[in-house]
Amino acid sequence: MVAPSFPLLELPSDEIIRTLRLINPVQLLNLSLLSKRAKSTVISCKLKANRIGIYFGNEIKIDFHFPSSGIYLKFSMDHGTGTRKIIQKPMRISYFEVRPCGNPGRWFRWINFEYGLMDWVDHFKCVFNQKDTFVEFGRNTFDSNSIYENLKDPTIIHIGTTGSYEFNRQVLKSILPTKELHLDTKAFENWRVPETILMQNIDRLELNNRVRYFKLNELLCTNSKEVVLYSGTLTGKDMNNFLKLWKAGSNSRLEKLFIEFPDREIYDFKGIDYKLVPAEENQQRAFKSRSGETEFLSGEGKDICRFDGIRGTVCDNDGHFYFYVWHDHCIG
Amino acid sequence: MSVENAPVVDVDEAAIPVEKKMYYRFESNDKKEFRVSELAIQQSETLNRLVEAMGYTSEDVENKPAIAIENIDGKTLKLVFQWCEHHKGEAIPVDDGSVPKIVEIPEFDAKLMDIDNGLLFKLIWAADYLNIVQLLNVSCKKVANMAQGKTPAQLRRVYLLPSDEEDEAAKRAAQEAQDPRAREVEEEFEERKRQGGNSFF
Repeated sequence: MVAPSFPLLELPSDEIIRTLRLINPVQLLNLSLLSKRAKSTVISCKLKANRIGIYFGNEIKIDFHFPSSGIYLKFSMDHGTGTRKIIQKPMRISYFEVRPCGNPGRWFRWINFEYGLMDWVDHFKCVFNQKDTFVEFGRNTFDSNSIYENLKDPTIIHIGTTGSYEFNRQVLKSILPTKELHLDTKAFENWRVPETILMQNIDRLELNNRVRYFKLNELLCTNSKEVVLYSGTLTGKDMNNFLKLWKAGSNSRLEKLFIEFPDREIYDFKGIDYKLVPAEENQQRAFKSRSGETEFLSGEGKDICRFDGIRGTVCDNDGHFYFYVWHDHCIG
Repeated sequence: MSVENAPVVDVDEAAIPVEKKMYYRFESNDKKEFRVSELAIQQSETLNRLVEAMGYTSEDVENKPAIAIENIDGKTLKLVFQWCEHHKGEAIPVDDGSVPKIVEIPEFDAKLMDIDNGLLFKLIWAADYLNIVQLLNVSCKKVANMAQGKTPAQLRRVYLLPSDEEDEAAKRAAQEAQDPRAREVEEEFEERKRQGGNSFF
């Protein structure tokens, strides 16, 4: 029996958009692939994905997240049998909707010989009104040059355990994110992040997975607005020295520094002039982060002043080190 | 003074003036007449503004001709007014701009919309013209539900979505219908291009 049809695109334009806003994201994706007109109609309903995640591992996977659902896609391609896996035009894309209750929806399969990976990513960015891409690398991944050729301006890059120091070095040599770099220190020889990476002009640098080697010199090399370190090897004395050097002008772009210490470190402010701000007063102070979000300080604060008059506040929360720099645009 | 201590007064209920319900008369484009309560009309922004602007009294409603709704037929208008009467007095939803939007179809609405797609199409056009927000929400939801579980190819058939080539052909046909000389000019242009001419003029 032939299913009854409905001339969707002949409705008033407001009602086409109203209808599309009621359709789930995976079906909107299906619609967007049917024609140029269908694609532009889907774009006009302004469905926005929280982010577009691209994973390069054994295979290429892409996911999007929406407030109450998501889409998960797998790209199948003939990438040859050699040691270097080269990204080719996908032969087949399989995808399904991730539903809030956890059970996956129906799998769809799309076969398109015209689109390369970059075309697909551009299509998703366009249809889901999201410019930011989060790129992650896993084991047995593709050739770094091939990735470079197929990836345009990723916003966030995460390098975890890819199993190849050489790949990690190569990929960071050719591709740098526009906003954030998340690094697992195990990704580098001797667990030591090269200074050439630390000194990049990236908005946010995050080092995680038990940072084994990260000393004061490494911290002074960073050039990011926000630096986040989990389980650093810095000591209380290092932090005292860092604050003294910051006052003298080092890390001038820094806006926020967070360091998670495994053991409670004592930074005694020896030799540093500071003004103690009681907790009641400190907690009223709002810091505007890079992303525009407002964060209220916690506990008592210690205000220090840089040579050019810029203030900074150190807060100790549960033994972790928070340092906020009050540039004009950071005052919330 | 507490409620318990308030003096009891006998009230003659017949003496209380009862506000008379006003029913407006509307006529579809195929001359079918409908009587619709003032409260039901409030669901339609278009009709509500119209009757406010007309300022009819109860006598006017009876004596003057029915208000003509010239672009909606009787069968569709009957559904619209049935829906308005059932939902009269309900708050009109405000769009929060969320995507995907969550809308439930109540049982009454589901039964009312148990109609063929041709009539559903007309119902949405009518609700759009009369600006009945919640009727638009539920009727568009019914259309959206048609996409559930469909493959891309099935979606193309269900929503009658033309391919790029069909869209191009339709655009060309529309242009030609508007300007019969357009095709001749285009052909002339193509011919000159083939001959290697740099300029058309």
